[in-house]
Amino acid sequence: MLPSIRPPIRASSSVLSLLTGPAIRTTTSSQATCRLTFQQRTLSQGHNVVDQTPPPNPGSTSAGSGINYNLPPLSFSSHDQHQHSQEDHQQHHHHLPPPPQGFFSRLLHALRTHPVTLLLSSRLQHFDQVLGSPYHRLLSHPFRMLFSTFKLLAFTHLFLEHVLSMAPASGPSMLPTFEVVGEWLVVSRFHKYGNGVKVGDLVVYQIPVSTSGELGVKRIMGMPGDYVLVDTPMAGGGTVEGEVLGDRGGPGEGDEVMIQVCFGLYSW
Amino acid sequence: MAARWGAGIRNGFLGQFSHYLIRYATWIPPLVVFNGWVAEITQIKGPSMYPFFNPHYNESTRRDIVLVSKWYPDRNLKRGMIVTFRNPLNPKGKVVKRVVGIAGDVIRTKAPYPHEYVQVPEGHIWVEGDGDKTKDSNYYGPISACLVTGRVTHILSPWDRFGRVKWWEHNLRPGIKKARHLLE
Repeated sequence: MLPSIRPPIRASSSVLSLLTGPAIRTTTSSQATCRLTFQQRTLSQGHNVVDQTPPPNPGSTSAGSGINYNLPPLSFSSHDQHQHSQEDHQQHHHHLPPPPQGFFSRLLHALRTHPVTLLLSSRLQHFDQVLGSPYHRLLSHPFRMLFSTFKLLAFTHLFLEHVLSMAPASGPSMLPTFEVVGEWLVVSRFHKYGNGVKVGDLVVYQIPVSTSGELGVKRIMGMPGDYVLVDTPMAGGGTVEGEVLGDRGGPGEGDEVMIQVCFGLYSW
Repeated sequence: MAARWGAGIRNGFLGQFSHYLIRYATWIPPLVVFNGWVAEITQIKGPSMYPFFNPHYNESTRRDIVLVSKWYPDRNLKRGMIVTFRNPLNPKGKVVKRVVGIAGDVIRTKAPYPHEYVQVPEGHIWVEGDGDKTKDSNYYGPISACLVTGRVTHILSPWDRFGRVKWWEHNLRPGIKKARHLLE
């Protein structure tokens, strides 16, 4: 059950060839070579990269990855391909180190060598290495690349929706707790839809009268059934004298109204 | 896609089983995201939209299966659209009703709403079920458009009502005074 081998992507893209050096001419015999070598490598203990560890390189930066920067001889003329296939690909061809043992180490390795992760983490020297290796598990296989990117993005989206998310906040309404601009807030999504919130919590909510889906940050003053004092914009600093419901003119011009927080029923 | 990637596939049943299990399980996040943000197939469970959905509610246990579009559903809501939204009294519950009034409309309400006339506030909608037995805006008032999670666009089952939900052909009940919007 061998995968169908397609020629490496870099051979067909001039941009990629700028990154990786001289382009590989893809001929039909190079496909045969790839197939032969792949056969060889899948037979050897199920790894898709050769067991032989590359020599330590002074230029490698990441701890323990042992990435080999020595490029293989790139002459792919049709004559000596089959002869060179077995030895050259094993010894000179630079490749990613085999994925480590253990489930989580392999998962981490898979995530670290995904092209999206390399791009986002600006590890461009690894990117060059990844692009240079035709046996990277994804770059020679565009559908796998597409699907694995989808999966990564979907997982990230779900994480931001259901676990934790981060967003900038601006506005003067929460002084002195938050500055007017430049604050970044981490929002716990476990408390979505008011799950487990209580009086005094800072919450992020969708503004109900907004047509553009704006989010607001405010503090909870009352849960359903609590009585709260609602300031109208012109209210002064009057004191409560034991009256529960009533309008009262204080030193200012407006009224203070005490309402009971309703149980989800509107009273427009 | 049926190819084995070769990265660390073990020999033996347990190794291969867990490899394929994890590979197929990694499709769950994309499917969840698709269901939540692109489109979803769901069942209509109650009689509140009789006779549009579940016209045989009292005769059989078969319920209508519909396609709900989740693509920016709270933008550009129009009167007559059938929407799914979070129940304002219980955020985890999902409700399917028809949009009868949008922001600015004056609605003559039905029982048990306490006021006879209500103007739908900005950013809110008035939803009603087509049937008799329904808990809709006449019970909990206008709802914020932020609560809307999807629009029902197609009926998939049963076969004789298969097709697009033609919400624009629905005639609104009397008692809805449309607001004069600049773009209408």
